[in-house]
Amino acid sequence: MRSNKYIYSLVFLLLVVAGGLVAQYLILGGAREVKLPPAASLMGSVAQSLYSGNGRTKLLTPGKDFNLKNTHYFNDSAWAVTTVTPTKQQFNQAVVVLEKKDSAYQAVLGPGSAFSSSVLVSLPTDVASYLNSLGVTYGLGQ
Amino acid sequence: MDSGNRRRLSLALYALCLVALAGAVYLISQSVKTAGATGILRVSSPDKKSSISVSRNDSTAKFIGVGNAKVRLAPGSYLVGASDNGRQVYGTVIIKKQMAVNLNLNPANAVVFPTVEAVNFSGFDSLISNGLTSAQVNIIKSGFFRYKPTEKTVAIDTSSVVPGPHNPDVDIGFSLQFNLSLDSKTLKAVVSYSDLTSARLQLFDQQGSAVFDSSK
Repeated sequence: MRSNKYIYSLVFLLLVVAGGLVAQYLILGGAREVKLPPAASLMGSVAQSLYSGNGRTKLLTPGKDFNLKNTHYFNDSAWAVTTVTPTKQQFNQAVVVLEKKDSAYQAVLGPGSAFSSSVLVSLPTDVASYLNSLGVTYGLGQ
Repeated sequence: MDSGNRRRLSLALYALCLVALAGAVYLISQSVKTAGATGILRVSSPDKKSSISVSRNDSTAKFIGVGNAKVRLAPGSYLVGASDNGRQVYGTVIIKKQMAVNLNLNPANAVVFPTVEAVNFSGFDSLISNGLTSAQVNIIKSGFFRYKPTEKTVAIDTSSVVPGPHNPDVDIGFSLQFNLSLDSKTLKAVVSYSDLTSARLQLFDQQGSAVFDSSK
């Protein structure tokens, strides 16, 4: 009788744990919650632009893996140009051009250290002038 | 086992059951709270190897899945990216409480920034054969790119390249005329030059109307 009591207790314990996990899964619709730690503006978008995929499951961490410097905004902050600097020697310093689309900045050019000058045709004049002043363009010209 | 030990074991088991019960209640209440305060983002991609990530303006980015992902996020605007083989495609989503958003991203559809180097130019050697320098040909190529940055191919009909009228007593410059196809469009071009380092490109449609002038 006593051993039955222990077995019932263990079964109850397992049912509670399993029931709790199943209930959590059902309530959350099978989707885990993702929380994004705060970071300076553009850091997240730039981290995504530095991510090539290819099986890696971790993105570079702002502050730990890279920093941004010389960030300039253009056309009422519709465009931004920033320079990515690695904290170690994981990659070369690179320039990224970002455009604000639906209230989120996304990389449209770069990261890169040199761009064909013909891309300037597709960019706002201020952004194109700034890239020219950075000396990161090459090629056939506008 | 003596009765004292049995009693202690029973109490320990009861305590464990109570802790598990309390834990389950806490887990469920937290889940209810999370479900009420977040929305669901479902991302799918025909590229089952694509790495999916999410970020927002004032936060870091996180990897959320390969090929597809289903996560809960706090309300707000997010940038979702899918990457594979160096190609990246982005989509923006607005997450609302207790709402689900579906997004399909295919890295193969990534928009590559147009460059003049990516355009397939053919028949341009015929311009050099007719007196233009490489520098002038590059200027002409840039002119075509300025006319239509999204162009894929520019093919000169090499049999149509002829020098334009030139009166040595009056004209200080020279010109070449030729027909070409720019993607699926047929155009007529006139290239004018008076030295070895500059050139002017004018394009005309089939009706003869000017559609582009590189000097403007």
